Amino acid sequence: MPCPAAGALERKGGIIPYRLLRNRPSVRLPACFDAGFPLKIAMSLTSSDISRIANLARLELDSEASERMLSQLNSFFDVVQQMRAINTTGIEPLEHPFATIRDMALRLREDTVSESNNREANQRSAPAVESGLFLVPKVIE
Amino acid sequence: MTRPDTDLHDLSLVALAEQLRQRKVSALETAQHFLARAKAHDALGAFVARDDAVTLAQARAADERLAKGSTGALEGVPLAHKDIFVTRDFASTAGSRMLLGYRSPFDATVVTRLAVQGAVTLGKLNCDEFAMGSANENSAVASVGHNRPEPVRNPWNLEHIPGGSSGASAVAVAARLLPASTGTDTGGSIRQPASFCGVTGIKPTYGRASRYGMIAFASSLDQAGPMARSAEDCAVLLSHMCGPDLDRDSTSLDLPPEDFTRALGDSLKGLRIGVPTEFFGAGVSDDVRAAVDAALAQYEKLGALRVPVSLPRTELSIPVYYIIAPAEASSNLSRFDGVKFGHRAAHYTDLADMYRKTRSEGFGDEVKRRIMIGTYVLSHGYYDAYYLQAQKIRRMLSDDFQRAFKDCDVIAGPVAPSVAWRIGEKSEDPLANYLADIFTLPASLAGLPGMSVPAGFDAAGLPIGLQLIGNYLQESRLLNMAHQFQLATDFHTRKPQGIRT
Amino acid sequence: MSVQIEKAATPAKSLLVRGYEVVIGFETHAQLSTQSKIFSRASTAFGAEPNTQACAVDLALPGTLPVMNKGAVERAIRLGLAVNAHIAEKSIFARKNYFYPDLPKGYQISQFEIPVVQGGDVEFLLDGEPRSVRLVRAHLEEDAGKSLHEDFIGQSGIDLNRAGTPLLEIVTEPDMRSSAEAVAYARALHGLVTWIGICDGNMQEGSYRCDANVSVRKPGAPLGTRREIKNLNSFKFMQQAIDYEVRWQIEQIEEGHVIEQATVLFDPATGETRAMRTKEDAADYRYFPDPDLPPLMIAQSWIDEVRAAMPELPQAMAKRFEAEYELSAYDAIQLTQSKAMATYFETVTKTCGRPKIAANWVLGELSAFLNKARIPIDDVLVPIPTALGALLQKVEEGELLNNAAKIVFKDLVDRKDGEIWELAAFIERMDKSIKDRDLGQMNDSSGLEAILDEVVAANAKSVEEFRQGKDKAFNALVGQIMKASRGKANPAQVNELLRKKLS
Repeated sequence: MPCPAAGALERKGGIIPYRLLRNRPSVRLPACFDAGFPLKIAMSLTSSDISRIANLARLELDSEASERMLSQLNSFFDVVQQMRAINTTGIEPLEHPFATIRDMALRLREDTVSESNNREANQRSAPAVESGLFLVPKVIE
Repeated sequence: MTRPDTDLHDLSLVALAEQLRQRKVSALETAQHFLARAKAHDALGAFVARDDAVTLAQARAADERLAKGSTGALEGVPLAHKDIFVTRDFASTAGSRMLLGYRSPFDATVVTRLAVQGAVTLGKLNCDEFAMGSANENSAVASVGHNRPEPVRNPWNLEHIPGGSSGASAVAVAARLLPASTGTDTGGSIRQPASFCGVTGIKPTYGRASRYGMIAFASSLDQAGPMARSAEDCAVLLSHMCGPDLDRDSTSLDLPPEDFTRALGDSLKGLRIGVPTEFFGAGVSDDVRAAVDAALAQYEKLGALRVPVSLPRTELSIPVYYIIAPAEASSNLSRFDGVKFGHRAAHYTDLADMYRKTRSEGFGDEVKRRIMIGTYVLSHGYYDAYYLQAQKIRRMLSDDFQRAFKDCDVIAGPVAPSVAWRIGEKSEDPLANYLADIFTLPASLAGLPGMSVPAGFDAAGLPIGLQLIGNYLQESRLLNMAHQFQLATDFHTRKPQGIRT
Repeated sequence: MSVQIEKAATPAKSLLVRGYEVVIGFETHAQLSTQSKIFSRASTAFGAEPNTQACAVDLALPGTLPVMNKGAVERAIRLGLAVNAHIAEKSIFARKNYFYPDLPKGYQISQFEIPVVQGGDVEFLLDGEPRSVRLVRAHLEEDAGKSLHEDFIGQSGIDLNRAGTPLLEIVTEPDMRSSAEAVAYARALHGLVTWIGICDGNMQEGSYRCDANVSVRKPGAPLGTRREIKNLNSFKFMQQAIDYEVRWQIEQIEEGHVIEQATVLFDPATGETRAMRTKEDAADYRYFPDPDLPPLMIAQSWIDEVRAAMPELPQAMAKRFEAEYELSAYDAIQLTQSKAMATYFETVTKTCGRPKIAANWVLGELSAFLNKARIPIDDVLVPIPTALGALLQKVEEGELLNNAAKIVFKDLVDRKDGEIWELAAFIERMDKSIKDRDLGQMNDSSGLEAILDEVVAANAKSVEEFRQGKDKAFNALVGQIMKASRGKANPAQVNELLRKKLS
């Protein structure tokens, strides 16, 4: 596979010349980079992705933090792209690490009650409690 | 009581336990000694919580039991727990502002198991926030004796990181503030700091130690393990940490507790050590390569055989791990919402705002990054391409190990491509941190037991660890290998310059 | 992912509303009657003080993990068997991720791609016609806590006692075509889950909650956009809510508006459905298999054990009643609406030997009394079945007229004490009632003969008319005789004697 040594850095649908990554002093690249494996970016995130994900995760990012997050995640997903190309037809996902050598089954416990009222200790670190209830801003349905 | 010949803090865990059992030194004196030592080294930033009154009370109780001839294996032995383990006697923060001051109403199972053996808790050890990090630069909680959060320091060179996320657990042992400590390993968080700090650490097979009471990061990867200055010490501690917890942890293996010291003395003659070609690529520094080569040569002298093996998908472990772990973490961390416990923002307009502000204030940057990655790869339209794909490659990686284990008994290689880097060197480059995990991630993904054994130093005197990876449930063999190596070498006995002797 | 079943839905008698076909599917959440929660060992008992039954696992305290309750799985198997579904040998628990104060972990442990029960159907009668609604699936999941809004200004109080209670979510195909059918289905499923003992069916306490997915379309057109009416916990409200929603959707369409998918709540006070505040990205739950829970494996041997221990199901029992007791299908189904009633009926039948009168009384006099007094059939006030059987035996043997028995029955239930009575106490009361009110049937022929003679003598005109062929006159004479005997004569006997006398 030819090594794209020149050319401007293109994001969407383009190829990051790996030599650019190789020049970053703090990065030790995996062996695949040395073999000339180009990273074809199938897609990259946009700020609206960041906004949507942050909302799903209930995180608030100001515009500066958002931009930083966007650039960091895109760098991260550049590395991830190689994984997407692997042919995994017919491979079952690994449910439990030990499942490689032994089938894991969910253990079932007997239906008995053995937890008694421990409210005081359990609520010791609660931000807002009244009459035993956790208080939150009003839930509007 | 007569003073022992060796300073208490230079004794191995096994030796100290023996001294205590023979009543040559009291638990109280021991506790006081280590508390003073810890205080004297607060600049390292290892401890995030201590409480002299609590520790001394535990020590006194241990002395009473020792007087009655108690049979606890660790009676009076001082230990400390990584702040990922919840404890009733100390706050549990997981290195996060989200849990500042959080008091758990129960102890982690691992903590209880050690307490039952009579161990005395000196306090909690700092860590990367929610165990996410490779340098212990990501803690948001100030260590004891510090006014604000600061990176934990490597006692071999105070300007260098100790590794992470169990950085402080390694520091406490390396600096001889404790004979041993507990840590957790999700992607290398015991092995890598052990390597960087010149101590011995082991991550057992997934499911050996109960995860109940371990603040969850990545459920299918997290495992508890000991760090100490010798394989023998690790073996003793591991034996008591591990065991089925069927009533509380559904992923706990239903296997009887094992004595991992039983094979320490076995000969290594004929042992086949698999050396993966992929672990010795261009990225490994010369010093690390030299130390590992020398260690392997030492093993050959002990009768072992070197066998070339291949783990062809080694580099895929990075994207696979950094998809799966953040995905699980993003879900595990959803419980931190300011409703039942932990931080809640002081100012907010409504419920949605409360959630956003609470979580944005409570979580640090690395945690947020991983939550974002995790949320993304699980989100609608991306699940198959990322999360599901990663879990499938995970199985392939795991199968690769099984194939390799047909030709060898144990796999050996470096723990990390380099020694501990300078504080701040990679803190602005999260990706660089991820890439450095390449050798520890595969065993984590497969759930295999892995060890780090001190194997040398670089030109500047920074420690280099040798990684040993065994097949499932082969902890005894790994510890045996490490023990025999430690009988023939003295890397594990050296003292770092940055501490008071 | 729904399992395709070979049989098509029974062709519904389409009840068009203003020319539109109504399409309804149900999702029912049945709280399982286990002692402890699905993933923790806290109690599931209703009505405890807030957060006194929410242990560390239920509160999602850091470091806690789920452990599965065998009783919840066993109940799922029971339901699967009762609806002839496929019970998965291997099913997976998945996390459904979303933020809500009553959801402590920020995710609900549920089942997504591979549920424990797959397929199946529920059969019932609608206006006397047999109907069948196909199930897509039933899966295990945990209930959330509760938000209380009333007592706090600008705030809500969260009680997590309910968090972690095991639920079975039962999902139908959109097979229903009217609100009446939907309610009939909901009632039938309610009867089934209580019958097999997996759910206490207490709708006021939230043990049985239905979500109705409603859409409308012109016959032959593709499915319309559906709206989901959440948390219907009364059959009356179910019908009202669906009817309103259907009318609302039709009006919207007629006015040219497009129906948008939404979740709506029914307001019993106004009788209207109202869309909930839309939650952005509400649909992206990011399901993934829960790494804390290995796959649930159910061996065939366990299924066989559960099957062997299952009670006779209502349908089978109804058919048996028809055959064994020669009851009508209608009566048989009415009697098997609850296990308690069916058992009561069978005991009465065994005692008095006459299923027909037992059925009449259980469905008639007894049911009327239960409804009026608003008590269940096992209440202490209700005469135990052997007592009622003894009463009916007296009627059967001619000792008591049916109407007289009704009076005795009223005396039997007229009690102020809240005590449990044994059979002897009922018998005593019964005998006293008969004696005090002189209700015993007159079986003494000579006494009756005397009355007959008197009446015949006093009513010569009627006798003459009868002899001339007017049957009405005969009935008039019978009436006179009954009156003269103060209702104690046996009508059949009077008939017989009178005919003999007049012939």
